[in-house]
Amino acid sequence: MPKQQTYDHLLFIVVLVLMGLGLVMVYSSSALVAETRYQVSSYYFLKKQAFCMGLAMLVLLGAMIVPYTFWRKMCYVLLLFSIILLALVFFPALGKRAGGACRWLNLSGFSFQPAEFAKLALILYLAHFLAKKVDDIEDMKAIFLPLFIVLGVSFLLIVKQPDLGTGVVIVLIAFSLVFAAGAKKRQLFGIAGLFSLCLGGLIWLVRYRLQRILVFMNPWKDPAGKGYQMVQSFCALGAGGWFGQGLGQGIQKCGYLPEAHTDFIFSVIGEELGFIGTFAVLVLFGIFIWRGFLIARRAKDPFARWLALGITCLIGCQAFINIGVAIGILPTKGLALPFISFGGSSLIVNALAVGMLLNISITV
Amino acid sequence: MKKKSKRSSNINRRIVILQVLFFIMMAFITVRLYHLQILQHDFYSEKVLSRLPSLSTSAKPRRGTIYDCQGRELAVSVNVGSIYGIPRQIRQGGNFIIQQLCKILHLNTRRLEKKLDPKQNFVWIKRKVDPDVANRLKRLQFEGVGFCEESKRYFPSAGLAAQLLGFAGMDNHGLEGTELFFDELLRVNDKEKKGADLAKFFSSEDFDQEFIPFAGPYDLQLTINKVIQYQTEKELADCCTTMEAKAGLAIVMEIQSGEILAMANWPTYNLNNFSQYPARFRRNRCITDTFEPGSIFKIFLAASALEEKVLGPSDIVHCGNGTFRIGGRIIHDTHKHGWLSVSNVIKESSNIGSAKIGLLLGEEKFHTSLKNFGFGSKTGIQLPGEARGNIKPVNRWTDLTTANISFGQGILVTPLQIINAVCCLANQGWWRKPRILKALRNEEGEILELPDSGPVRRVLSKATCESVTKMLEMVVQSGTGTSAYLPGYRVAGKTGTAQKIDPESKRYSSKLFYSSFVGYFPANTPQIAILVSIDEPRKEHLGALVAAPVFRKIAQSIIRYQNIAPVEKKRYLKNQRWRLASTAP
Repeated sequence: MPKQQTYDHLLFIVVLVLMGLGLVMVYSSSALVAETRYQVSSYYFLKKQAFCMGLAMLVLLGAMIVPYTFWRKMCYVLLLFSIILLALVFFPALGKRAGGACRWLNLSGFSFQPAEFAKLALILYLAHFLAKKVDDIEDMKAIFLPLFIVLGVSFLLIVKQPDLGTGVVIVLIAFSLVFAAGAKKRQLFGIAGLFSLCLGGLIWLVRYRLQRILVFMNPWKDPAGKGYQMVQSFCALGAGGWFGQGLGQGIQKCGYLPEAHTDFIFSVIGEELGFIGTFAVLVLFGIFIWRGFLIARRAKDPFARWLALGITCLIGCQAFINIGVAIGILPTKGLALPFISFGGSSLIVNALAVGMLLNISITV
Repeated sequence: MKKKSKRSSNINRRIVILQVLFFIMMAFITVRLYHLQILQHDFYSEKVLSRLPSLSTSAKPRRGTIYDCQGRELAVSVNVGSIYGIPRQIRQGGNFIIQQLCKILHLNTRRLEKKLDPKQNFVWIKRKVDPDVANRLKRLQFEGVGFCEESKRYFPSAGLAAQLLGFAGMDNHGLEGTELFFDELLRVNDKEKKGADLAKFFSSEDFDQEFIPFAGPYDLQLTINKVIQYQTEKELADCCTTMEAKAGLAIVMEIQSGEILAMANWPTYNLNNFSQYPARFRRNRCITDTFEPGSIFKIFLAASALEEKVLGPSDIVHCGNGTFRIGGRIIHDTHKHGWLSVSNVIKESSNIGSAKIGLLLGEEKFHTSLKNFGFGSKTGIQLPGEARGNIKPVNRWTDLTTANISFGQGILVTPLQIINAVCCLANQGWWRKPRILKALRNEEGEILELPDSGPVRRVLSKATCESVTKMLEMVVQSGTGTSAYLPGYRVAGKTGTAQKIDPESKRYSSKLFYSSFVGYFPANTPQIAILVSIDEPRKEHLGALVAAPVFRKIAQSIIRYQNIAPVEKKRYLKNQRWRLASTAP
């Protein structure tokens, strides 16, 4: 019996719902801050996000049409391109600094985060690499040397920005893929150990990271100072209760909760829509992960499988790290909540990724 | 092969493991969320709900003032107090607070109680009250009642130029008229943005040298003259009430500069209470409404015919003794005429004569000329909602269309287009954009004069303008427009009594009229043009009897106000004699 050749409707709907919710929450959480802190119209962030969302939808639909094999052909080009972009950030003429970090590229009025793009480029490369070499998984050198070089370079460039959160996401995705590919326990422990050492070193070297970790252990030690963000996030979530204060009724976003429309948008959802709202978001991401893994398991082409897996891990890891920060089970990171947080680069790149995933879902 | 399938199932098993890990993570997050949001809810909500929004939007900056051409205020911003409530906190204070609030602010007790729903975090109790009242309340120090200062739009002369100025809403955003059109300039923006805003309203040629935009809101200086506007509105209202008209409008324009000195609509409304009036009061009919102009349109027919040298002013046409059959229809004249010169066709306002001139001119030339006068396209005045009117495309003109348009039927124009085209005639044939904004000013008093962008195109030659002006002078001296005559001044003008379409029978009505008069003076060196149009006057219907006297009264007050000198005495007396002789029975 021939199987119906259609894309995964459920996955598509989940993404649409998340984006819609994102638009509403971005407006709710940014309106006041836009007027008072940024001195622009209260619709400023909403308009920008709506524009990016339109663009993202076009990208998504476009990527749904393009056969995924096309990306395999392009993977080296894209990888090289993303590494060049990552390096360009450090040139003062092109890079844009914000909040002490240098993560944006300025392109005639538009700013763009190359790290977002790099994540996807790396996934494409990993998928291609594993599809080619999966028979040699037990051969340490053949597999791990090129992997280490590519990953290492990107990782260093991203961490240098500094954007440790994205670096961690990349390593997590790579680790998941290598694990799924069938790496031995010994190998996995090796990678994990090496990475932990790296991470430990990075944390030790830069003082604020260590502080963040310590604060994360006990935010209530200094609720007005270093634990401020965390405590405000708890307050927002806690004030929500079962059903929340009502849409637009949150108080925490009015200057108490920093970065309410980007990093801590989940807390605003918690305050305004309550446990019902946050749980719904969690379930939506759960469905995404379920469908994503299903597509990966059903894929017959190895490249499609690894790509689907990588993309699912990308969305899943980002979502859970962002939520983890908001609920205080992870130290503060500058990661966006996929499809929901304000931010064009992340939205468009995630849409591109979903488009690829949906294209794969047509073939399985 | 076997190895491969084994490997594939191994991979699938590991993917499932990853998936399970994710779901464990999810479960963990859910538990944590339950802990935070449900179990610790009371702890956190107590913490959060005791605070007020730490960012307040109350410190709204001032909105720019609007002045008339001599710096008199037309629209200003005043600081007023607004009162809001935090219902959660009021609840503890009890009914006493609500009672007091209602007493001082004259509010309905039950409605306020309902408004202060304890589920809400923030409720406006009353916005934009007198600062004294707000201060009195402030001293009472009610718990859960807050105050902030807001700025409110106030129009010192209430209904003056209401439709032109427009108003700003509760949130100080312009909603109509100049308030809407120049909203971005009146509002505060940063300096860079301001440059962009300016560029939106003015072309770079408007500025002579490199202009650095200044910060802060701009004050606008309009071309409107408050005194002339007042007189115009007064005369218009007098006429409309005595004639029991449905509506009326009048525009006064300075001919050389194209500046609008007054733009009046009747019925009008009080800008300080704009919400209490229906939309028909708020419409600026001078630019948004189109109408069939009727006989005043013969001015442009005569000008076109003379410009194209189809006829001279003294060439004659036969006016068919009151009836003229064309395209299956019969055109009538109110008075029967035989042979009339072009001048006399205008003077006596003969429809048949006009139709014949139009046919001699031909549809192509007539159409082009009307387009050049600006009919069928927006004048480009800086006001929102301008209509463009409607001229049929020339390939759909029949002889009947040409004949009809010759005396102003079958074409839709706006009052502003009419007066602007008349200004073009009076300004030696140079067409220009009407101006409403004269200058910008910032808070430090720096003035940015908007330079005159100058005439756009030449529509008529000087000779044509002079001949047509002469004809129009005749109209006022001895033709249909004698009630617009001003002793001592040379006035050129034309009456118009257009039949309106009866909304029921869809035909030209014999009862509903649109009576107009358009004219300018002094005819030798034209300075001021005035258009008066009265919609459905009931007592009288002829433009000569309804609109022309209004023209005369407005013109008289402008002459007094601007000290416009009469023509020399000799000429004046000669004219008087000539006039007496020509009007003798």
